[in-house]
Amino acid sequence: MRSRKVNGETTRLRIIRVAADLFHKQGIRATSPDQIIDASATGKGQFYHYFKSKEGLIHEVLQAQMEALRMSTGFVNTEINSWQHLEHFYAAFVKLQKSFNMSRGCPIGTVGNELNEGDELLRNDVNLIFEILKNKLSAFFIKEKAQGRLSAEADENRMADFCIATLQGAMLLGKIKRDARPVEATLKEALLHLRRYATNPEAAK
Amino acid sequence: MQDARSLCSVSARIRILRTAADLFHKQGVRATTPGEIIKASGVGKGQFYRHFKNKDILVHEVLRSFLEAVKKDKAPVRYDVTSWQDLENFFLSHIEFQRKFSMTRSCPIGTVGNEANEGNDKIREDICLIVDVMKSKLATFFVAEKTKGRLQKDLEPKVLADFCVATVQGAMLLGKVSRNSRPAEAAVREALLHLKSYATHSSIEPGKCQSNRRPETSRAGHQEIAR
Repeated sequence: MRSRKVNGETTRLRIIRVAADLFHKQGIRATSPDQIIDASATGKGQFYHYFKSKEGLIHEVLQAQMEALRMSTGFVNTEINSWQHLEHFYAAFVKLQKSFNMSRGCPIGTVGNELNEGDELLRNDVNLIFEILKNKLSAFFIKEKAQGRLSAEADENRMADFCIATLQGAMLLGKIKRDARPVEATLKEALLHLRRYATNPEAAK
Repeated sequence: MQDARSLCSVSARIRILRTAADLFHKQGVRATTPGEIIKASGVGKGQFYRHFKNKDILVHEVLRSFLEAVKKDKAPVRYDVTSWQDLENFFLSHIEFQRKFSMTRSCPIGTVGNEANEGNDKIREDICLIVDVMKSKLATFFVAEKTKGRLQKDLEPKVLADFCVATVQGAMLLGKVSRNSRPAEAAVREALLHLKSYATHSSIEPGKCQSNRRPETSRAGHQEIAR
């Protein structure tokens, strides 16, 4: 009985993992439940036992990605306490993209881009993920400012919006061009901009 | 008879293209079926397939019309930039365009570009062409400024153009996801601040820096660069 429960959880997680990969690779619209069932080697009955609908599954995938980003257990360290951490934060996304030969964008942004007016639940999920990332970024800028290391005129929230926008746009551009250079160039410019808010740019290196 | 009929046919073709472009922008290419386009454009099924053999060809034609619009500067957003004011307008008009759709849509080109997966090389090539035209128009401005000595010498115009296109795309995605123009505008204003910090002092006319919440000179590290 107990092992069945454990097996069930393993199956559920396997479906989520496979779905996350397919959504990242080809988007949510192009991915059918049947494809996920095939790729995860799950029974149809089992699949619909765990997930009532495709939307429910996308929601679970986004929840899992949110947790990984919040707890910093995924591909990127989201605990940012220094300028170097910020640089590594950007670099982790580029590394992820390169690992797919620049054929994919950001897993979160790819889904976000596909959402339309009817997708309120999923839009809320993506928005929450961006908010979590923005909070982590602005927390760093606030800390720097409190310690007198950031210009008083710097607006932490705007800086965080700028971080997410440059990251998302750069990755989209990289996917379109299948080229890491515009991504790296854009993020380098973004970092230059952010670092210039530091009262001592030398120390911010 | 012949004339009226071919005129009708031309307008049907244009109507299909317009409707398809709008639906692709609204919900993406994948989520849009020929059936939906036929219904929304009010053409007959036969007529639709006479003009476009399949959806792929229609997507290609829509993207070609986008390319022409950007090339000829007839897109909702102007890419022909010849002054810093134009550049500011370039950034802000993207967000303004988004507001027209109550922040429910992103950039039409970015939305389709996001869907260009491994199997979709044709779409991706079309999008690449559009992005390259955008970039070259922006780079032209930076080259001109550099030539006039109004931009730092060591700058790479192409890199600045990449930065512009990327930031605008990311800002619009942020705006769409949050249904709010504020973060999108915040992001593009930071981008503008960054670009203007590369300008030599005299090139940005006073009063034309309205986009900056504060005067450029009050900025800690940026003034060093601008000198």
